[in-house]
Amino acid sequence: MINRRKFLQASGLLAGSSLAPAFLSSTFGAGHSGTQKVGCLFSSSGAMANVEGRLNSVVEMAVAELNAAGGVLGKTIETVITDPASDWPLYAQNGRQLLLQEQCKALFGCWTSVSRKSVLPVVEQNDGLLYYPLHFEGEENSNSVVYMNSPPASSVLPALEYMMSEDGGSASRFYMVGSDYVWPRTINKINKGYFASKGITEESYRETYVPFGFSNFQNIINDIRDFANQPGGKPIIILTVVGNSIPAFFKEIINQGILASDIPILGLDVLEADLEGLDTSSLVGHLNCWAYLQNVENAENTKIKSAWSQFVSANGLPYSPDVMIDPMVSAYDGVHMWAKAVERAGTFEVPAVKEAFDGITFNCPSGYEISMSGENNYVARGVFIGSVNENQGFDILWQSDDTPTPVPYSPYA
Amino acid sequence: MTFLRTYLLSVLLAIAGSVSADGQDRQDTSAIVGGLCSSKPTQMNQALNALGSFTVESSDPLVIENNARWALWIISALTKKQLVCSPTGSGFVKGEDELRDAVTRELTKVDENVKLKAPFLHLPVRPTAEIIAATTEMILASVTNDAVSDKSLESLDKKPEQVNSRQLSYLLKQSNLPGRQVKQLELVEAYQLLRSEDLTDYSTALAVLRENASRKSLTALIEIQSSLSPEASGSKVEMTSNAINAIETELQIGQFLSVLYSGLSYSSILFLAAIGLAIVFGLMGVINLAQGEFIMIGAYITFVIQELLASFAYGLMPFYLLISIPFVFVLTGGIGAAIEYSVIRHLYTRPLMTLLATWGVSIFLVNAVRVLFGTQNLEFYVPHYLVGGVTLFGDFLVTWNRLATIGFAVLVLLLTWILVNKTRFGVNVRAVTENRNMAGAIGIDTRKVDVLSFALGSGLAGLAGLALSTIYNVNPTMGTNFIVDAFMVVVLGGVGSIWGTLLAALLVGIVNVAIEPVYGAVAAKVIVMTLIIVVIQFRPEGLFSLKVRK
Repeated sequence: MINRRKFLQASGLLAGSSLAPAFLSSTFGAGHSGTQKVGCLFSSSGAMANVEGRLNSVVEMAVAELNAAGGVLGKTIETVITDPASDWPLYAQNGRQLLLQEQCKALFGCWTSVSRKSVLPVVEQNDGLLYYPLHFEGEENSNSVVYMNSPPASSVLPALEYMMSEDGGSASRFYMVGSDYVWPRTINKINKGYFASKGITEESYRETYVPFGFSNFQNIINDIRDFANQPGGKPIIILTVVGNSIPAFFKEIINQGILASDIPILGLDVLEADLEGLDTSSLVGHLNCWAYLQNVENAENTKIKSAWSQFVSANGLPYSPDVMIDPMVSAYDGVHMWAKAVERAGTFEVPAVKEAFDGITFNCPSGYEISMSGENNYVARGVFIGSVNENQGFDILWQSDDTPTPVPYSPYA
Repeated sequence: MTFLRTYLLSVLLAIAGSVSADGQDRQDTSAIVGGLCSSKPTQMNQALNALGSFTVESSDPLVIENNARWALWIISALTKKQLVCSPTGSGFVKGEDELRDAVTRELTKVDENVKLKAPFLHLPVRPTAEIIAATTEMILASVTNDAVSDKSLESLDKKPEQVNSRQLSYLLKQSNLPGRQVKQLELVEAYQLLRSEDLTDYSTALAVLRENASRKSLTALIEIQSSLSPEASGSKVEMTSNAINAIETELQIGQFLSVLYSGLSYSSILFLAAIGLAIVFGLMGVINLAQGEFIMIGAYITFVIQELLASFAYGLMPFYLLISIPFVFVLTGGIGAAIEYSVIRHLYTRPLMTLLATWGVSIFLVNAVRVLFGTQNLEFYVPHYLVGGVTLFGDFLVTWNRLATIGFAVLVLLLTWILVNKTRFGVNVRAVTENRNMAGAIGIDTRKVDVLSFALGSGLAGLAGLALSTIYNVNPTMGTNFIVDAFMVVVLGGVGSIWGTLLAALLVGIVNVAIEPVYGAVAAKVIVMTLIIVVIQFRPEGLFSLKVRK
């Protein structure tokens, strides 16, 4: 059985990354009565594959948990996995197929905002429902998307506020490096609005963007060294590059000998998984901010971490069994919150499920009870600032007392 | 290493119970530990500075040694989170399964109900801890005549203004310091002398800063210049602006060199990625979309050899990159030959089919590696001689690993050129390229030449993977990042020409990097692509083209 599954997965990966974008691999074989399908839109090939690919398996794991507990409304849930290959238009195409051909009642998908924007019209037109697990730039509120993670006002700005405080090193100059697409540009726009409100002038920050998959950071880091030694106060780097550019950036930072004690980096999309393969002893002290960090201690977290390592070894998945990252937890929360909404609505039909959203809560492995409001489809979560430690992980530097109410539209943008 | 040794020594010393601290010292030290335990950045920094001053309080070398060892022990424990504090502010250092009092260094036990917590290292504490540890290490070394670690020397360069002034004046009085340290201390002193009223001191400081031109020294001088009062003597104003001008010029030259160096380094990477393709596509005419995957396989073979050395011959680890060279070349070449034999040889007459077949091969290889190794980035051990670099001119930093890549690219270029132009095999390859039938007719085994050239092209790609493993992310999909660039370089250079490939790599690399600081990385890519299209419009054969009988 395991061998057959392994073979299916391997061939699924092969075909998924090949020319045929329409290829859909189903883990449970052909559908039959008594089952309900949900779809996954996470790339397992291309520039985002390294981190995004594992979310497919997380959704499968969460669905397996639902099925083990008797399914949802008595039906077995079946996961349909696609590979949009880090190719933004393909997300829309695969999304349409999942909704129309496969009749999926919920989609879990997208990492980058540009992929979400690509799927957005598809779910809106076809009465679909997309659970989006990443923290993102906000400035969007669709009735067909559940925003599982935090917009900037409840993630980035608290982190910046800490870094500008005396405890955080009184940062007053900012070097913003990002990948060239909507998330980094909007985040930096909000940051600049925030700086203006704090009386920080334009000479005190620099902003630069790189193409997707960019990895030659020599020039930019030379420029950062130059910027850091100019007058005007303590500098920090606000890093919004994504995917493979993150480890490439850190490699060059290590190479040029820049430590957290020289110029700290606040990596807004930096995860444990990005530190795999890096010599973290030279990165100790750099920061990130998310709604979940692996090192938080509570029963739910222990449960999900052991469930994941068992899932990885039982299915022979090519992912690290002991790395659990924020988007994985959000995707996991998403599946469970969807199930709760369906149970409450008493039907799988999307309009009725949407009606049932208000006040749904879930005990998130982050230790906070996360909740949805019916007003907008945002989920209120806690905030963590993490600091890189020697073991390729993050120590918790600071965490919020409660779950700040998410603000979809920032006053600074 | 020295750091570790001093740490171990200090533990040994503590076990021997040779700590001699009188009552006054005991009070000072508990106050320092109390400050470190406060978890408040300002208090922790004050405590760290007090710790620095404490090391040079006495003039007795034995006491200095003892205190310096204690200070290093405490700072190391603090940064490694081994220093834990009770709610009342007394500190302990956690060992494997023991607990020592932070002040007396003696073994101790704490009631189980007392919750011990490591003070948090807020951002402002790290730099102070680093710099105090560095100067303390130098003080200890001046007593014991040990060497000081490079890391400590570097942190002195980066944060001269944070050096504890009492430690600095102690160190400046020592006569047995090595030349490099003396130079550094003079630079640190220069930053502090800038505030001096004395004109001689001031001009010495200016001279030192001018010699060590950097953005940091420029910033310091500009700050001083703006603070000079109008009544200040004319010579002081003039001296300062002269120094500022000199440093600015040097910085500009340094910046120019930096861009040139980045460009060369990027070119060398492009060249390494493209040279294999120049053989396979250029000489043999095979549109090989799996070329990027050979780069990836080369990197993975390097990884496997690194792991094997780590388990069986740890002593050879620092040289694993050199040891890997023959293995990577032969193994990747072998895989290339196998693919040529099984897939490509059937398709020489159908170029479009080769394109599809090699694409299939590429997907197969990516997923085979994904299943075998997983999707995560691999961790490569970077030998100490490839870490960091040397600052040459202004802020122009020559990083060793980039320099090594440039050197490696030159070596590969020379060897390939010799192989193609000066050997029997090379003559055969060129003959087959120019006219396959004629070459066959005069007795060249064209099949053998095909297999060997493809193996050579793959082997070269494998070497590129080896060279890139310490610079780029190594994961199953890394090859796809290089394939477009590689084709771009080969087509621009002129199909079939090694010198063309070199020139194209230099052109694309340097132009790309030179545009970046002005218009940004995104625009750089667009502009370079446009330039290539324009060149191809006017020279469809590329910059260099081989005259071939069609």
